[in-house]
Amino acid sequence: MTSLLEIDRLSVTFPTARGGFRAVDDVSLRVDEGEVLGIVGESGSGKSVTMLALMGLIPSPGEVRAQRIAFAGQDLARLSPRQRRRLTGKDVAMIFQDPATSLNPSFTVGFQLAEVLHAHEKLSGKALRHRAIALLEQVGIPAPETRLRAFPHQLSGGMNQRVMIAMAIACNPRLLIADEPTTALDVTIQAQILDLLLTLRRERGMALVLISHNMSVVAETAQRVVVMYAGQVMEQRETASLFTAQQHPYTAALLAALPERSAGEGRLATIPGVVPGQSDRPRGCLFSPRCSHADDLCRAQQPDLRELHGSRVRCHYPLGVAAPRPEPASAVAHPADRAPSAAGEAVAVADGLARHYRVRQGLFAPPAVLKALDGVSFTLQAARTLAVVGESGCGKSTLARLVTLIDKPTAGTLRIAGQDAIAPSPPVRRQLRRAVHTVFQNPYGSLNPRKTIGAIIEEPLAVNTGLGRVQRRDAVREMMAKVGLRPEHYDRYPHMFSGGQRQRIAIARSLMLRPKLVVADEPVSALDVSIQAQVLNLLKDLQQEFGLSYLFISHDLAVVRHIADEILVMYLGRGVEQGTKERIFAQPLHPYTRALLAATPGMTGNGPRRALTGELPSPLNPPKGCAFSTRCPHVAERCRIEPPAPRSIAGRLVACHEAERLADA
Amino acid sequence: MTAHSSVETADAAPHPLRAFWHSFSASNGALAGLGVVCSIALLAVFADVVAPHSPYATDSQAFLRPPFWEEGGSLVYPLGTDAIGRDMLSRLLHGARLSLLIGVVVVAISLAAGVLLGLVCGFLRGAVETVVMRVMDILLTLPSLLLAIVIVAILGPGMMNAILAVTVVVLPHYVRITRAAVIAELSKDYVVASRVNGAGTLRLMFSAVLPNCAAPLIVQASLGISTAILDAAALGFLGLGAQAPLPEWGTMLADSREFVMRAWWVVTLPGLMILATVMAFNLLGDGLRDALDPKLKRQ
Repeated sequence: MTSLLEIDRLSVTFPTARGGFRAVDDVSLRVDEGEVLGIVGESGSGKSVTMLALMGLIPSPGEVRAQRIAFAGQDLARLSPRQRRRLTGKDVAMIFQDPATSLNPSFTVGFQLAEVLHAHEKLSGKALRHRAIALLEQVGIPAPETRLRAFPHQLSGGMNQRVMIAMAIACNPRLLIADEPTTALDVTIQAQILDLLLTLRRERGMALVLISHNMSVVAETAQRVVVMYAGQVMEQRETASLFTAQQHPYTAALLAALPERSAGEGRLATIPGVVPGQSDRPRGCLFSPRCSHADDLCRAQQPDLRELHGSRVRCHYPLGVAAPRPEPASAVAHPADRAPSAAGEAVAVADGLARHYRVRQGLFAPPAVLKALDGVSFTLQAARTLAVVGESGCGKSTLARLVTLIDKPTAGTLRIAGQDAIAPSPPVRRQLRRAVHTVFQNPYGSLNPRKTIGAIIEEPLAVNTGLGRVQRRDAVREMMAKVGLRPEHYDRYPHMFSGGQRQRIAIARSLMLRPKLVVADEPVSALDVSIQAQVLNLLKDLQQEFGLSYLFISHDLAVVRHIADEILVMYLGRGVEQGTKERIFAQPLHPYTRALLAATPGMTGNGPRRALTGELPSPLNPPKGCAFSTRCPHVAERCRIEPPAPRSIAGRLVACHEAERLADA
Repeated sequence: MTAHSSVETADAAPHPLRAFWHSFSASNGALAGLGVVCSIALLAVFADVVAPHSPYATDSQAFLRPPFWEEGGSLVYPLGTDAIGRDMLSRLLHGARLSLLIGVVVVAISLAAGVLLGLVCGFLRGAVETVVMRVMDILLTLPSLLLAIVIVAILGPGMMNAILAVTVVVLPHYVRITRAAVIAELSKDYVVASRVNGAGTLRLMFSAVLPNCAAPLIVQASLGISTAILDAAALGFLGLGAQAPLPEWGTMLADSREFVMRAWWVVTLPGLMILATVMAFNLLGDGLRDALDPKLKRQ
């Protein structure tokens, strides 16, 4: 095979007030004709900037230097900007992370597609329309004729990403660069999009560069992987040997930090510290401050990228073929030995919780009822973790709002710490405020940017207790130390902290009143893998120390398997399967649970994925019988007529007519 | 227990005030504006000390005396005298005091009232919001000076009434800005977190939300001072603002317009003062906007 793209010693430098910042530092890589190359790295690793440099899209103060960037044998540096645009515009296409912002919201999908076809293929009139429809068909959009007239906001995220892909393949590129193409999408849609990308690659013989922060996605998709860190290529190897024979300590540490690689018990291995910023770049190997193998040589001298057993690695001391996993971060007591005193007591009991919204559909139309939550029941024991799983729109955040008493249910009962939480008397309400707290998904939005973190963490004390200023300050400092923050940082502002540290601040705030129950709404989904492992470990440690119960809301089954004791799978406002983690992961019964598991990369080995077809139905107009019947592979006649009630089968509750048949199969 | 699990060091990001000054001082216009505003403010505060004469003292020997560099001028009256022999420099300095006072008072009152109304609208929504915002819309439909004239006509001419009139005219801007910022902030997680903490509405309003709405309000306030000065000067010129002996710049202009052909300085100098002050505040406001508004910040 010949190489289609060759990048040799590429550097991108952005001038800053404190000297140049090297976003990309001496990167060399190669993409063969028809190959899938994966680029993985945490945020700030330079993976996107590398591809922008290839496309000539680095904004003006940025300086690009390379020995050679060659596409299809032509050195791009020798071409005029115009020739270069023509070459890369036609033969290289790119799709981005967020389809909602990369499509222009003011034009129809058809118009934007037509624009591309007109610019590159000089098509017009009927031919153009036919080609546009054919493209939308190819990317799996149903009823393409009508979709041409749709605006981006009228389509779902998955559909918009398909439109983006259609635009990208419109002029038959030889190389498609997909920059985090599925990060903003739900897991079943992610599986669909990845399948689509691979199918298109096979059919058209184009090469694909898949940029992702998600190791598992890359491992399942790519043939070769490039691991980047702080702007440098750390390792480059065949995917087949990635999990068994990684040579760079960073790769090994990243893999060990993945929750899907842990057996689901114990602590995750973590990488201490954070990716170095522009001000604290180490002099030697960039990874040396966080590396467990580093010595004086690593700290003094930067290693070169060198060939080793057919792969490339940038390390003075590459790991042997039988790579040891980095030592798990100290042997803290196993989380299985829980605080025994608290066991068995129910912290939260919900029965038939429902939240319906009335939605006005027009001046004269009767208001429709949106059933965001439609009869969910669960019992959460003390010092246990109940994970609520489901795709966006399944009602899991609505459930969180009800349990944290921000919103009131329209039906059902909810008892927290033994007291009625739906219409509590004022003194009970005050007690409940102290019993429940919450940690949010986005660590950037959940901290008031105008307050010092001391003031943020002490707010629950200031509002709910009569403690004096000094006592509050001492309590805050003690809690800061517990969650792994420096008490000296009491007077700093949130913007001075990284995402992981901010999440620690949010956790500290949630624990100030010693709550019994913490509702954590996607607490790690905005964090990088190595930071995610730190925060998950912290949550487990704190659970043990304070006997906390977690209502842990997540879309990521790998994280859920690591942290949960019990699982509630939700679909369109209802619980579809509910039971202990061990049972559900060993033998999922509901077809939706099975589909979720199958769609999550890294959960089922490297077997072929069976992507779920279709999308979530509108909650304004749910299917008649079983809500899942429109997408279910095992659907029977009865499912379309009669909604299934939850029944106890094989040690868990499952709402499916066909559950017995599936259990025996 | 987790003391060992990686205590990370915070990034050495600068303090917000330092960062603000860094981006503010990058603009020469903003610095110049700040300089002019500061010196006019100082002169106004120390007008009693700096001014060579009383602004009201007339000298029957020296009517319409020109500035010192013109023929017939003298250093006793460095910028000349007006039609009844009052020292121009002293009147201008004391006028600065009046003009700045008008600007600051107008902005203070309209800011306080506007923020309060905006917070109430943003938090309560519903009928209250509709009523308040529609009233503000009506105020906005009328040309500002016309509205001010109508209000002064009802209340009667005078400096206090002029201040009140201008306050009402600029009020809708503050209400709208506050309400929009409040609504945007209310959807953020930190507000929900405060609610979960059990914070009451007043605490949410003033402790959580208001500080985060400050940036656009500061910008509007600094630009608003110049509008207020200009409107008050216009009212003074029309004889509806500060009354005759007061050395208000607009009033001074109006009193001396008949001498425009004979003695340029009695008309030009108050006009120049208005121009310089208004422009300085505008530059200052633009600089503040660039420094405080994250959307305009260049990365």
